[in-house]
Amino acid sequence: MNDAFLLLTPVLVFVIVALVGFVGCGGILPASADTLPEGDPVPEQVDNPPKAVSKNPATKIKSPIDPVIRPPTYEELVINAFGFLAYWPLNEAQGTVAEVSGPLKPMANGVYTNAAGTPLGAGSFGVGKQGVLFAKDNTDLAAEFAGTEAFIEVPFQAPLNVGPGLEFTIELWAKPDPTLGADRGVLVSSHHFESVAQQQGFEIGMLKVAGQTHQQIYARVYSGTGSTQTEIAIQPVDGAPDEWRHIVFRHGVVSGQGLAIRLRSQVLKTAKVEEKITTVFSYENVTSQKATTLRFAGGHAPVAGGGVPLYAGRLDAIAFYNTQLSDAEIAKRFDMASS
Amino acid sequence: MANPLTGDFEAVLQVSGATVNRLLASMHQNAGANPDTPTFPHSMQMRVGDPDPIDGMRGWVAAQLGTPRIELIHGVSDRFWIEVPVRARYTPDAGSVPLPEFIHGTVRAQYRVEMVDPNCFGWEKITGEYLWVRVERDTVSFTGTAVDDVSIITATQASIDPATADARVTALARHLLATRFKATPHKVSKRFRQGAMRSLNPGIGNSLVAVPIGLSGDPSQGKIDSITQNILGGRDVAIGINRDVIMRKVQEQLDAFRQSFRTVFHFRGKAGLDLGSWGDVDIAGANIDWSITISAASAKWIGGLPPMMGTSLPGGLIEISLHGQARTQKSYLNFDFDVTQTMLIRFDGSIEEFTASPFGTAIVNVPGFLGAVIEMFARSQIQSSVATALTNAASGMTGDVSIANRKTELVNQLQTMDELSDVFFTDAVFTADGAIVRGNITVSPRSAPDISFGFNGVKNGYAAFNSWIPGGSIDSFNWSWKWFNYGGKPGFETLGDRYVLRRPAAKGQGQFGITLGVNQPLPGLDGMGQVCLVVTGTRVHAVTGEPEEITVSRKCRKFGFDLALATPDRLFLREWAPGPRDPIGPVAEVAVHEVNADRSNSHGANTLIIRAGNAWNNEVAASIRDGLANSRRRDAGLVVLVLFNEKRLMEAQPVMLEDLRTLAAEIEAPLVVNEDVESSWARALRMEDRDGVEWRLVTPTGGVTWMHSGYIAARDLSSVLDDYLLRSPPPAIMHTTSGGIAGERILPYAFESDVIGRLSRMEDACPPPPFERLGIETVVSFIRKNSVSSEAALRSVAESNRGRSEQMRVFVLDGGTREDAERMRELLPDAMIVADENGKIARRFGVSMWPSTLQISGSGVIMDAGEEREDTAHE
Repeated sequence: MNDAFLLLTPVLVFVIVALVGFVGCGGILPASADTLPEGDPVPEQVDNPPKAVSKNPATKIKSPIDPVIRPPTYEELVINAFGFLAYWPLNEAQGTVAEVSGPLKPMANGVYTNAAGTPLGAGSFGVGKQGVLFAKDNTDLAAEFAGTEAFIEVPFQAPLNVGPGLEFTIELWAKPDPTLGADRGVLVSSHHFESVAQQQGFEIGMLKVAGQTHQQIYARVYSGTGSTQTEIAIQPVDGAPDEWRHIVFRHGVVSGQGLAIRLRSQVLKTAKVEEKITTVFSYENVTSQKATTLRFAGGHAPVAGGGVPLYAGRLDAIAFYNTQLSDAEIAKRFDMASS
Repeated sequence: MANPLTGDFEAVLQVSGATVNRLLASMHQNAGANPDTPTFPHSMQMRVGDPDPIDGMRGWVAAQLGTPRIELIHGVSDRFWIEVPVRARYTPDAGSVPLPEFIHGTVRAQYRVEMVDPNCFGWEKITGEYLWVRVERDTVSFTGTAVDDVSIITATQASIDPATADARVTALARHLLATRFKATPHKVSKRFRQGAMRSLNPGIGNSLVAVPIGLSGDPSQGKIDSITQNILGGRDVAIGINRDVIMRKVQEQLDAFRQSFRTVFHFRGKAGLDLGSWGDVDIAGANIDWSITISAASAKWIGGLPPMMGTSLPGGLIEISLHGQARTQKSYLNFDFDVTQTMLIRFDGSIEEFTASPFGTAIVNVPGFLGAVIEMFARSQIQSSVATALTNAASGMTGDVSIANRKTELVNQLQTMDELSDVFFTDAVFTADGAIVRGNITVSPRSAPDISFGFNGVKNGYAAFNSWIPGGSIDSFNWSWKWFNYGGKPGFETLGDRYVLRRPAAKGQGQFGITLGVNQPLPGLDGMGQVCLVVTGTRVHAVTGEPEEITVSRKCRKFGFDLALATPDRLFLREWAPGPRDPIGPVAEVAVHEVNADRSNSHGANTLIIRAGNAWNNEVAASIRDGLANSRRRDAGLVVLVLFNEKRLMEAQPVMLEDLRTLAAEIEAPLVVNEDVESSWARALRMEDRDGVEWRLVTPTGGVTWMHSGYIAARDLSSVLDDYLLRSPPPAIMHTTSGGIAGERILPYAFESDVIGRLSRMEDACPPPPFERLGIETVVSFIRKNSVSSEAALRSVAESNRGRSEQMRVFVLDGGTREDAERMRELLPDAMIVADENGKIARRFGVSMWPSTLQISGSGVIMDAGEEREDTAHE
């Protein structure tokens, strides 16, 4: 009961003086709604509100585990994560731009293009396809590539060209089409080929391996001039070969391992996590060809004008972090899509 | 003639004005805690002047309201004064008649109790059932100040002279009281109509409200003006009872007694009756039965008697006179007799009822020739019979004047305003005019003041709008502030007329988000530091009703930049205080802060971390200064954190500290200088060279996006910033918590590092500590291993707590192992030592600063929120 200013006081006097036999006193007049704020856009005190007054202040129990009030969306999980840098949901229903979310927007917006650098029309690739979360969120879309021409080119952004010794994670969902494309399809590439012995950056892709129904997933980092690459690969066996799979590539120091790369894959709605880890001999980011650093669904040609290894299938929800996601965080994302 | 105690009425109830004010204070204190009892708001916000401006005024008012006080007017039955302390902030609409922003004073108004005009539509037939309390508009006044903030006032504003300001505030108050805060007519019972109460206020501290009551029904008819006497005797409540009422009740009992009194007096003769000059009557062996009746019974009120020999009579006296007859078959033996019995009426406070008993023995008088003989034989029997009969009659009489029902009704009424209120009638005085029963009215004990403050809405200062003193009002806000590690001059300001502490707006924003051109910077807004508030005020004493002064202990809030990294590692900074060498340099650690404790918050800005190790020099400083200055970025917030090896800064030479201060003033990003406590930053950021200079650029989400070892030229640093800074808001300064939330109940395993493991173990030899059943307070101290300030706190506790057992002590040793805890136990054998190796327990309690303490009540509830606890470490 929150009564109007001074309203109660006169009434109180009656209550007091009518102490005996004052049947008519039904209490105090009800609160007047017009004492409530009516639209001041600026509150007087914006934080540290007074403690809740309660007749029983001891009823609130704090759990050691914070309660979840509302489950976050997939995108919220991504962009609120520590180390988040960029997220390409590939949620476009039309157009030739793959919009980025996060602090690099719009500088890191991708463009659907080809090896000649020609922006492509909608006929050359497919946007607006059902994404990995479509079953639970029909607004989730994905991009589809035929493995013939199209890939996504992201303009150079220094934070995405992670330097040596630093951590990063690339996370994506891929639904490969084994019937299309070449044997090697690149999912993500930040790679410069000067010569076989002089390569920088990294590459994540899929390989069709003879005798295997599932494409192999590989990741490699290059060590710069005079060095060799460090490569890691996993051979999935679970699920259908063309099922959505969660692929996470991590680079950074791992306890007991030193600087390492880790590749992890898990097929949608399956429990088995396929993962490999290996120590990195050396890694050097791209320093000589900054103009075309980061690509999705396509790699970098070993020589100028050469063929680009293209991926065939769908891609969805590509995220870039400049830290290593923990297994728990990866599992959270997988579970959200897979549950 | 009117009875001095009760006027024309059989009884009068009086309640002191102080009690009325105590109940008003309870309503102020309620604050909605009990929805079944009324609340007088302690703060409010509203628009005024809508739709029609009030004398041209239209705008927004936010106000803190103190406890209202009623001032009763002597000898009236339809009016009273009300005054309310008000502290308001007024924001006029553009183009409206202005009013100073800060209004502080007392609004006073007289209210009149009247009936609704029967000519009013809808009230024709029911006006007699309602009373209407209306403000006397001409009596509304405002006493106080109304001023603008000179430092904030804009060039277009013109100051308003005080007289005009007062007049406008008064006009505003008058309008509001007569309109928005107008009471609606209140339905009252038939027994309570206009003019049925009277207030008396013969002098300071003696005001009261009097209302006629009926002891067993409706109050008797009479003139309310006939009540003229204060019968409270300094107490809260009194019921005066007219002696005539008492005597009427007594007479009714006596009449009944007279009619019903029948007894037989048996005489068995064993000797002759010596009739003196009448000779002897030989009645040996005779049996005589006298039939005893009472033909007349009357009472006389004596009341109280003056003290005799220093002793007061414990009640009032009533003299009972009886006239009776003793009849037998032998008429010559018939006789009449008179009995006089004094009765003592007392008030038994233990049962809150009147009691009556014979006071002394009855005087029996038998006139006539048989008198002496009869008296000799019958006196004792008559006395006994009369005493017994009168005692029985008296119990009926006291029942007639019982106040039990009146008390029940009174309590019920009081508890509609304050659920804990009660009435205790304790004693009575008896005068020649009647009896006065006096007692106390208890109300809820005063709650602790609730002091809080936070940023104001436009974030150019702090507001303590939500602070209040239950049942009282705030007189002044005493602000003080200091900068983290004394990075600036501390300050203080005492403000009575406003609940805000503001500084003039910044003239601009620096390249990386720092505020520029701030004349009076404040921690939290303009840098890391601490802001404290002490509130003084008054509150209505819960027992006496008198105002009592109160000072609320200092509440502090600490603010720091969000420097968290995307790493599970724990990161620490050191807080120090200047010592004897001040202002030359820091000498003593006062706390260790964890900056990575709450990873739910995302960064507000980028952070450039330079771990200078032992290699700080002018070149590094120049790279930072020029590198930032030459960066082209204008869209990214940045905090620069310079870390030195442990003790490097604490033992630094003055010239280096001065250089750092100079650098801080030169760059357009906040500069935080600290030590790499326990090398936590080097570990988390994988800085191999602990003595050289290492650079890391951390994105707003905590990931490292660029790193470098050794010297870097300013030009290269500029380029790095241009390339790698992520767009972000200016650096955000957050409130850093250091304790749990008061009122929360701790869980059984709150002090268990491995809760899941503990819960999953099938066989557990010990249950969790029963904090909720200890019945005594538990003081929990969070201390950190290898921390000088924590060790000092531990020693202090050990010395002060020696031999004391009224509190249980728990020490949570952050970063400590079980073995460390065991060693501590040797120092504090009576304390409970808990190892918190990974800080899980501290995080559970929201502790990010060591040393910290919190208190747990005997029922397991956190009593003192650490974040607002007084921090005396620096003073």
